[in-house]
Amino acid sequence: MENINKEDIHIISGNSNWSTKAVDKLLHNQIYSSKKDWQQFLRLFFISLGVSFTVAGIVFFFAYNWNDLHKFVKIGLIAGLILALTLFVVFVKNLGDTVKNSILTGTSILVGVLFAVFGQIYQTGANAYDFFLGWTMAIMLWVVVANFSVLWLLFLILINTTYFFYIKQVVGDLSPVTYFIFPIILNAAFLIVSNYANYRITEFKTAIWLTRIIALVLVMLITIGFVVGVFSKNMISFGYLILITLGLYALGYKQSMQTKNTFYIALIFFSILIMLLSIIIKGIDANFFDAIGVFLMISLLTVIGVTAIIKYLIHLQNKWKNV
Amino acid sequence: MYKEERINRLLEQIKQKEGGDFSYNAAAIHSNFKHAAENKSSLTIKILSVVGGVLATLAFLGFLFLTGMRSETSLLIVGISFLLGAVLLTKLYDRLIIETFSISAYAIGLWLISFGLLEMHINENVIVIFILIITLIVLFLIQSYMFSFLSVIAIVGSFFALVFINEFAIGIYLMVGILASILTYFTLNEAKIITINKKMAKLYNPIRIALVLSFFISLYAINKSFNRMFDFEEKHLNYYWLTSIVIIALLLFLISKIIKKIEISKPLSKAIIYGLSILIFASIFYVPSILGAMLLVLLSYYVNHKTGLALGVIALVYFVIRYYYDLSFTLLTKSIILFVSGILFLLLYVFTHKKLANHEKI
Repeated sequence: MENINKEDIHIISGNSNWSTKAVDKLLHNQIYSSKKDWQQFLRLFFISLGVSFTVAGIVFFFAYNWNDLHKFVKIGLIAGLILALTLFVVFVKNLGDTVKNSILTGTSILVGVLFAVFGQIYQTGANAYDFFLGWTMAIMLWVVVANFSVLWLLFLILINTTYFFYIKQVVGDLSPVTYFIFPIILNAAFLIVSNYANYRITEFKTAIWLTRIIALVLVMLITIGFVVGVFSKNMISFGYLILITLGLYALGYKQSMQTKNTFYIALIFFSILIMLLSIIIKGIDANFFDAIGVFLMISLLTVIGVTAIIKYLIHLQNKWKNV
Repeated sequence: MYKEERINRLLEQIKQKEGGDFSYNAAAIHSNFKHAAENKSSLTIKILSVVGGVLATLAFLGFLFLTGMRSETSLLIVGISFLLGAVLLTKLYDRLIIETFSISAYAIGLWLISFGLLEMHINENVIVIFILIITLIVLFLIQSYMFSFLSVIAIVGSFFALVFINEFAIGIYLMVGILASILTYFTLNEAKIITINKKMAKLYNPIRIALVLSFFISLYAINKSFNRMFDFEEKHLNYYWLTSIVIIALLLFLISKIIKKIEISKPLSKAIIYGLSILIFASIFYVPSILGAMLLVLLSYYVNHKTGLALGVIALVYFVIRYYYDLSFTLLTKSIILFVSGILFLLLYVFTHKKLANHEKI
């Protein structure tokens, strides 16, 4: 049987008298997971659940006894674990890259735990900003060297969190829009660099899920920043935001077109739609429109806007399929 | 993409295998393929249309609220007209582009009808059953993907609503068990269902993903802390074992199918696998949500359903982490349970590792 997919089977069986037994056999042979798939999957399933449950059990046990442990034991335990795991990764042969990197990610998390425990025992009075900054700096070398997507994700989360606490605790008072500009630039830089590296340097493959998450967060920041800007009074930083947004969206659009992927475009246009809607809502404030009419307009515009975006996406999809 | 010759080739191959009896509606098949190719939507598009529909619905309801339209009759009339409009529009012009608009109209229609009936002070149970009947009828009339998807979610939601309205706490656990059973049956009997008739073949995919999503959400409902918010009697919340037993039974059934798939034939091997599995399930007995997540993962992988698999994995991670915060056990108990089940999984790994890697007959 030629390569048949699920959709083919559904359509044909619905419009013919294809026997149930034959359909069932076909589904099992061509669509459902094969014996080999299961062998791979079960090995992964058992070992990841096995390791994580066992480790979690041990961690919970220590959590239970935590208050009774001597402070040297607490710190020594975690530091020792970090040391042991890192040496294990470095010196044990035949481990496979993914395993090594996963363990390294675990170790990076433990570094944070170590700092937290240290702060808890000695009551250093350090604020969250110092904690996250220290954690970020400590694992930076590992992140860059390992070049493992999950570890990069952790690193990005840490950098953004550090920035958040920095603004909150050290700077204190910042105009709302400016607050958004820095993480936007930061995350955009990551996105641009990783995309560039992905497509120009062949040995450097970035995980797609990671770039998509970064893109999603970036667009959310831009959109929220824009909406905040619409309702704020600081026009200068808002102006900067608009310029940056235009630049980034133009880049994103071009990238989407080049790689024939609808994801960025969908995000960008949906974000622009929300921005337009926020401007309309601002219209109530300025007494341009009255509240009731605005709700109706938003409702209609959302439907029309989303429909238009979807139509455009389908058009692109079809255009690319036919090339 | 619509390729006429490819479809004809497939039909020929099927005819050869089936024999002389095989007949098909060529025109319908080709038009269905064409329609599918033209209206293909990726996950991004589907999510976009749902989000757009939700926003539009909320904004519209806000608009109605502000206009102060509270009289029952006007609510009912507008609601019914939206509903009919949505149904007619989709019947006449079933294209992807219209979807956002029609599902918003559908949702708005349902909401307005519910509000209207509420304002008339009709018994809540009756309202829920009424909505249930309407969505069933819509399911029967229209086989468009989004409509069917939303209708099934509404149907499952109605049943849960009945349970919550009548404060029938045990019902929650029963419902999740029933939902798990329906999902399992539906997933494993794909061939049987899609060969019933044309409607069922079209409905299969949206119904399945709706069941998966509802199951995923319902796993949250068997959480004690969630139910405490609803003033249920404390002792009724201890009936979670109903769900656990049902899910364990389903898991064992699924395991039997998996064992057949990976061709393990020695009775001793089978016995060890069942034994270890039962021990694992027993140790996690108190956390039916984790059991449910496992069921979802294994079920989705069996039929190679990627979305279900992703949801299952997310659920598994989430509920295990959440388990940490469950206050009904001490940390010590939880640590022992986790440690024991972890070791059991590792035993399963060790036991099957060599066999699974060598393709030996075991």
